[in-house]
Amino acid sequence: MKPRVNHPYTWWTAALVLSIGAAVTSSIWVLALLVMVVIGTVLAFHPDQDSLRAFKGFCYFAVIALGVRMVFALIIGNPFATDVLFTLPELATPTWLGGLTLGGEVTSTALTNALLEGLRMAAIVLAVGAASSLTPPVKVLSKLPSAVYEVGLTVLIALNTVPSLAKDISRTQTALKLRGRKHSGLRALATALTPTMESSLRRSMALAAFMESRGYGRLLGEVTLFRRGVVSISTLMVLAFTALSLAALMSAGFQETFGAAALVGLVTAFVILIVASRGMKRRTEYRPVSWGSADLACVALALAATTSIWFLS
Amino acid sequence: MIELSQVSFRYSPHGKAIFEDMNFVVPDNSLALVTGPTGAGKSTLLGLLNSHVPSFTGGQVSGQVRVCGVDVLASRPRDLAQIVGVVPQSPRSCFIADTVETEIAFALEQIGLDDTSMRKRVEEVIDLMGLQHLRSRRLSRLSGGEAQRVAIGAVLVAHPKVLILDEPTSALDPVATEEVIAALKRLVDDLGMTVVLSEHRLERVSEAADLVIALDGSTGAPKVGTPQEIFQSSEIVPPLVQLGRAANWQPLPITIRDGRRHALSQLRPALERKAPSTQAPSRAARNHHEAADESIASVTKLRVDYQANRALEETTLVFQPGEVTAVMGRNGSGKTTLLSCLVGLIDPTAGVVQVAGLAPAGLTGKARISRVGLVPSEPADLFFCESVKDECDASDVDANLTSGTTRAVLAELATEIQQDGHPRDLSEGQQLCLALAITCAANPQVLLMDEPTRGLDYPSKQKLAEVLLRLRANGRSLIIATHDVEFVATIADRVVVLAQGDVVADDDSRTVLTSSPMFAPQMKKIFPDQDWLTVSEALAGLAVPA
Repeated sequence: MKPRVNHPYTWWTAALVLSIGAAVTSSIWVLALLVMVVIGTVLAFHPDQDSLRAFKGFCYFAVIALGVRMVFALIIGNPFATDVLFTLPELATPTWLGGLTLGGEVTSTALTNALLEGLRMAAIVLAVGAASSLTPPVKVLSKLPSAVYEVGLTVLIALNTVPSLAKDISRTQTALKLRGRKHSGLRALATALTPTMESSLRRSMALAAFMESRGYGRLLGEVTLFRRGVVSISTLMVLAFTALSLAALMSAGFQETFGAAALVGLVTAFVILIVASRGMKRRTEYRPVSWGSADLACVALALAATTSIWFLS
Repeated sequence: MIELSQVSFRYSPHGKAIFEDMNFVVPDNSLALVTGPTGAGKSTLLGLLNSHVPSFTGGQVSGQVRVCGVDVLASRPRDLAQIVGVVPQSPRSCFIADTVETEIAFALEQIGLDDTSMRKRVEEVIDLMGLQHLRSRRLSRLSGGEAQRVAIGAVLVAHPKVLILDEPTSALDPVATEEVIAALKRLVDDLGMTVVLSEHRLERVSEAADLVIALDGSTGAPKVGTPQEIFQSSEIVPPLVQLGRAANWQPLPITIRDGRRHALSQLRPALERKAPSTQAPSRAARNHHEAADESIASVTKLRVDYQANRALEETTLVFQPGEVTAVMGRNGSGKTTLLSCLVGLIDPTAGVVQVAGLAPAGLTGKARISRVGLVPSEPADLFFCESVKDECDASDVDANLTSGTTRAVLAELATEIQQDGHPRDLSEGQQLCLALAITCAANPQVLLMDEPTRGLDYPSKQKLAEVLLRLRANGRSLIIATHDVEFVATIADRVVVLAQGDVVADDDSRTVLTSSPMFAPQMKKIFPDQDWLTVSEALAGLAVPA
């Protein structure tokens, strides 16, 4: 017997929908309720101890986000509010730093605002964390179109090497200790760089070789040269238009026509990529999970919650 | 069938040839063992069989490699998944998925099977490799032997005709090794596959081999033949064959059972003359008489916790100067943790560690390295410089020694090391010697080694044993964590066996090695009634001139 598994999209969709709810609400109570619901869901549905441990990491992160926001509220404050709670010693920064005044009067408005924003951030972090510990991102990838799958797998493998990189660094530090040298500080870090880079390079090559020797990267069936060309070009176009859209967003004099054109280009290239790559199958899926009534109910509940938050706020 | 014809290979166009005009054939349905001294090109040869060499390593290759009729060198590795399967040496860093089952299915997804056939094939592999209880386990939670079996399954599922493994058991304990070798034998016996593997510790695999491909370090064709033929003259042979050759047993024994038959029939008179020697009082009895203040290092009620896991539990051990102690036990039994505590890398959760009268965790710099040194399982970890010469000079500076001390120590250990060579380009045996020289230069009273014989051939191991015995004669205390039973039989005075963080045995090496079937060296298996551990002891006992 195997327990029923949700469709990979289910938890992620629900998390996304609830995050929207968290973003639009301006009530601390609603946010607190959302946080409790998310934590309760993970406690009830987590598949094993490891996923629970992963979620714990997100919890720490959420608490830190909330804490940092509160500390900033204490230090920077809100000069326009009048409901002063208590006063901290004041420190005026020089004008080249913006002439900001640190410390000083702490108002309850500032604290409430900080709590609201901190909680909102925490709720969104927790929602994403819950989704990723209930459905590992690699499972979502397997449902995405093949062109996106490739990019996603690359990112995932890169992320997977982070823990081993940390292990390499600690191995080098151990070696420095064994040689009787200093194992912290800038010079130790510089010494550690070469061996760390070397071993991570060697590991990546071994991983690539193992993946390839199991057939990774081959195409299924006949693919015309034309289709391959379209896929490659549209992938490049997606990347280029993403860069252009970002540039348009960030540039000081925001040009609406340019930005809109870049966005339209991005969407078009993306659609072409997905349509073209559909005929270029690279893989099949093992034990695919189909969309069931439980998935529907889960997403519908999340939608109902967010809709009511929207209308109430 | 694997056919190599006129294969030549070199890494750079004008560089030294690794192979020159090599020809040989491995027939279908055989288990072929690639042997040879370190640096003879075993990994390169295995890589050529699935075009990993030169696809991933670069280099110039000529000639033809055909596996089941397919020209391997003209194909990309990804198109060979259903012909040649390759199992990586350290599978744990090469996994992609999150659970055992999805990892096994990865190759099938790439091949593009439909879901029904995939389910069937994955189930077959799970049964074949005995992974039923592990199927939904996270890959990060597998033990070494389990990870190796999952990696084999993940390759096997694509139904390759040939399976290639490069030292699949070098990091495994004796029990896990037997699991993996048994699984490989089943593939050859039941599925008719061809398995090609390289291995240094021949005593573990030579029984299962149908064919030996012996590289001799020259560029020419390797000798290929049955184990009996090859082992007649090869320099790299297991202890059993050494004994058989010295005692002139014909036909040459390959399996323990052959050896035992020879021992019983041909040499019965000699055996009967020698009554089992009266045993020296065992260590457990002797310990009572020994004064505790002679000790050079000790751990008392040591406990180490890693998060929720307990690595060591209430461990109490005392180490004497001039003694070689081998620490044995399964993977994950706490051997490395014990060494880390003794060298002061880990501060224990509870208990006392003393080395030369001080707690090692508080020591730094010269104060530590002049008391206790550790050669890690990857000796290359210790190297930071661009040449052997610089590395030795840096070591003199670290330990505050007169310039040239480390080089003198190194010259004593290994004469043939090039001073301008890059430390990481040295062979595994030479790397070990350099790491040992760096560690010994500071003259530590306690020397620790973690898996020193990994990747060493028999002659290098023999040399290492001589070096270590010299250090022991100088009054150092040596503590060696290892899986290598035959090596322990050669050098250890005392064996400590750990299991799940507990000391389960601590006695003379003879007592421990002869009382446990798992740790018994080949000589003990051949002569169950005697206490012989090494070939030379057996020869002396049989009154055969060595």
